[in-house]
Amino acid sequence: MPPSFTGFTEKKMEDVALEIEYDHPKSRYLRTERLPHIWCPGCGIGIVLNSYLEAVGKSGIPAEDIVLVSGIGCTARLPGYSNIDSYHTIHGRGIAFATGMKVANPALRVSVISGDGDLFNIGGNHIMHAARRNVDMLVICVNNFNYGMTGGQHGATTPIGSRTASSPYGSTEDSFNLPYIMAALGASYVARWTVLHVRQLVQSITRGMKHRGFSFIEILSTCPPNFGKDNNFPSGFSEMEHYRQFCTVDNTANLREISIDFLAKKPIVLGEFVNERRKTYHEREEQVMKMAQGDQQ
Amino acid sequence: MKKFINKGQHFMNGNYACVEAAILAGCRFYGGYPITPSSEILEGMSARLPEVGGHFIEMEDEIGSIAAVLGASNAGLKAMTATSGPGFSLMQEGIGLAMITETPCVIVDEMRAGPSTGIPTRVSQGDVMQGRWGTHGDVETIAYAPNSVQEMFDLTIEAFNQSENYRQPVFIMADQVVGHMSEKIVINDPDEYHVTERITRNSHDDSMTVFDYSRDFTPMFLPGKGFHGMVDSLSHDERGYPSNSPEVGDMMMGHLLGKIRNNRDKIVRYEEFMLEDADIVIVAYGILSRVAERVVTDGRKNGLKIGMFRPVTLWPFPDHEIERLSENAERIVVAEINYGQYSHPVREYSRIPVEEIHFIPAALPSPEAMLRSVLKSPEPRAIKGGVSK
Amino acid sequence: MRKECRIYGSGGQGVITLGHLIGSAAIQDNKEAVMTEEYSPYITGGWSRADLILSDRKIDHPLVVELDYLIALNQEGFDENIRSVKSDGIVFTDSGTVDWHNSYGKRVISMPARELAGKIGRPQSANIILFGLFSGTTGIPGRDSCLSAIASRFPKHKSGNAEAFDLGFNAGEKLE
Repeated sequence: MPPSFTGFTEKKMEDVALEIEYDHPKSRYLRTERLPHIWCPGCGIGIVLNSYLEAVGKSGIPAEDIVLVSGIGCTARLPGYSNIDSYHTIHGRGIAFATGMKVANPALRVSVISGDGDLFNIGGNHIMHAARRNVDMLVICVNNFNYGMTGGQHGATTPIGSRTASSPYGSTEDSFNLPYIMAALGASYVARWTVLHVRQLVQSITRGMKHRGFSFIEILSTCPPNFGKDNNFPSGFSEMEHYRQFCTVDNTANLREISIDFLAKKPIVLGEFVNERRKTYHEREEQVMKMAQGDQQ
Repeated sequence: MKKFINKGQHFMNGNYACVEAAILAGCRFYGGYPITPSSEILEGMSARLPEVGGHFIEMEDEIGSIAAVLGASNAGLKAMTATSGPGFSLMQEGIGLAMITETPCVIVDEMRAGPSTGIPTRVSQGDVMQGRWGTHGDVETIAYAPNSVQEMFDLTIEAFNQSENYRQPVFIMADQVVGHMSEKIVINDPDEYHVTERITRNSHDDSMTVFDYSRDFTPMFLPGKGFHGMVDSLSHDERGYPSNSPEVGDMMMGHLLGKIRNNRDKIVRYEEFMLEDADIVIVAYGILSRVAERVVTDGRKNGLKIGMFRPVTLWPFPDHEIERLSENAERIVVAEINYGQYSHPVREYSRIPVEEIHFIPAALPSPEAMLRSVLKSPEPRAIKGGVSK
Repeated sequence: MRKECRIYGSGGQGVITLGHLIGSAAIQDNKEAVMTEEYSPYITGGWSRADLILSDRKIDHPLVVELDYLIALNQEGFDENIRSVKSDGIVFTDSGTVDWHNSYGKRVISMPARELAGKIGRPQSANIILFGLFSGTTGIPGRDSCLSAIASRFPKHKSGNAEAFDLGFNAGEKLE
């Protein structure tokens, strides 16, 4: 006879649940008193939170040295659930805030975790310049192809033709191809993964955190109640299934070619596209300080 | 390494005086974007901060500037930026973030003729209400209006101190003339200035929450020290955790507004000039107060019982003082280089009708022109066809 | 005493520099000084103006209204401002480059400053020669303060500038 669960009583189930809560390996990195989180069933952001915290452990960087900064949006709530010094700022300005923080205290290990709308629509100017300056920070962009928190409007990452709350006839605008943009802007580490590719994602976040310079990781996520429901992904699972079928990994891909088009069932190219070392803002600033202070002595 | 400016007399302009005062007050971060007429502050900081081990960054716009300033301040450094009307407009959302997160910083707004791009090289006092109500939501602001290069120096130090005392942004509402005018200033030995140092939280002090709404001042926590703190732009409780609860929001607001309202007498500054027996009181601030001073001096020579009240802090508003003055004066005349802004709160607190004199933004009026306007005592009227009194 | 003075010329002639030198020297004489400046958007070649107020007492209104002194470094500076000079005011100008004869009855003191500056091998120091002429004639600021202001502004060209200054100063001092 196969083993049966009928022997468990309700009380025992509760005990198991409590045990799991207390023994959760990530609980020391979580503000458990803030749970449950606000994310919808089927949302991929929880996977990003888990992957980020996994990477924190693997990186060997003391959690005390890390600062999480975000703007506004569903993803921007992520820092608030982690038990790491966190700054939930205003829409689009997380990177500029983080720039000030990193420049003021170069010992901090700064990560900005925010959504595609926050980083590339309203905050587009700041990400451009932070990459150009090569400020030593990790930027994680969780891309769910729409503005989730405000009810699923289209934005700069919405693939053309997609129907959203503000593009009922299908989006008429071309979308940003984020790795291509970031490589062009000078980001010294650029990668793209999905919330399905957790192993690679954790490894990539670990590398991004340790990389000296501006690092950028795009994470393709799921958003069933907003973007998904009008674009053939009614559940988180269906979008994950699409990623399983259509993703390929190619670290040497021609970035120009890797835009995303769900409707055309275009292959989605993932990988670690750029990983190079160039002088950081901080290293150049140190030279300036030497010059300025030398002149006066 | 040249840490502080030599003590003694200097002939310098307001913008450089502001730079030297900021260095002396302990400012070690500047994030800014060039804009006339404040650009010399940015340029001065780019040269001076690296000399004292501070950080200068020229940001991509004023929105980025204020965000970087707040990031730096939260990381533990005294930080500032300087701008003019268009940039001050762009910074308003960030100023709200500074208010709700109780982040100290200093913002210099050198007023120029507006609205919009206006006349970039010409004087105005058109931002005074923006310095009160520019950001959305309820706030209590602190704003200084220097009228000389010396005050640009002294009030910059005071602005940094007050921003640390009350953990909020402090504005210096200067103007194009004060910024660009060169003048004699006397600078003392650095030790003679009171500088309020940043008070921060010890790490691992779990007995304290990020904020404490029962006190006017809570020491800041700094990131990177194991505090596991959370700072949020959403309405938040004392732990820093966001909350939709109206009760929590009200507690937070009571604290944010209360810390200024409870200490109003320690913040408000003003100057009285020949007011003892004055029947006519001119209310003037910033650079225009120096024209008014001449009008009062000349008027007294001609037998007029005239005096001047000058708010040094535009905000908090010197409400009790205006009320007191209005009990004895026959006339209260508010003079400003705009189309009527500061006259509104003066009218709110005066017990007698308040008259307004508007000068066209873009020019500092002559004392004769102001005296003529005072003696004609025009009634407030609608502006027509851009004609000012 | 409250004296209002305008320096006017084209960008590159050292108008603002001269204003700053006069102001710095005046405060060394324990005077109060205020300078406001303005220039056309084109820094080199456009017009440039420095207005100074020198006083024994605290200066209230910081802008000039009627000129006690005008230092005109070019023709435009003379023509544009001569009518703003008080009837007992004095105009200082470069007789080599400015036609100053239509002076509306105001007193004009001039030297061929640019030519003289060229002769001593310092063609850029015409403004310093007029600085000397101004100081020698009016006595404000005094010679020592002027030389000290020049020295702290141009530490590498102390003696050359002092020579230029004295050319003007000596000429001014001899006048009534």
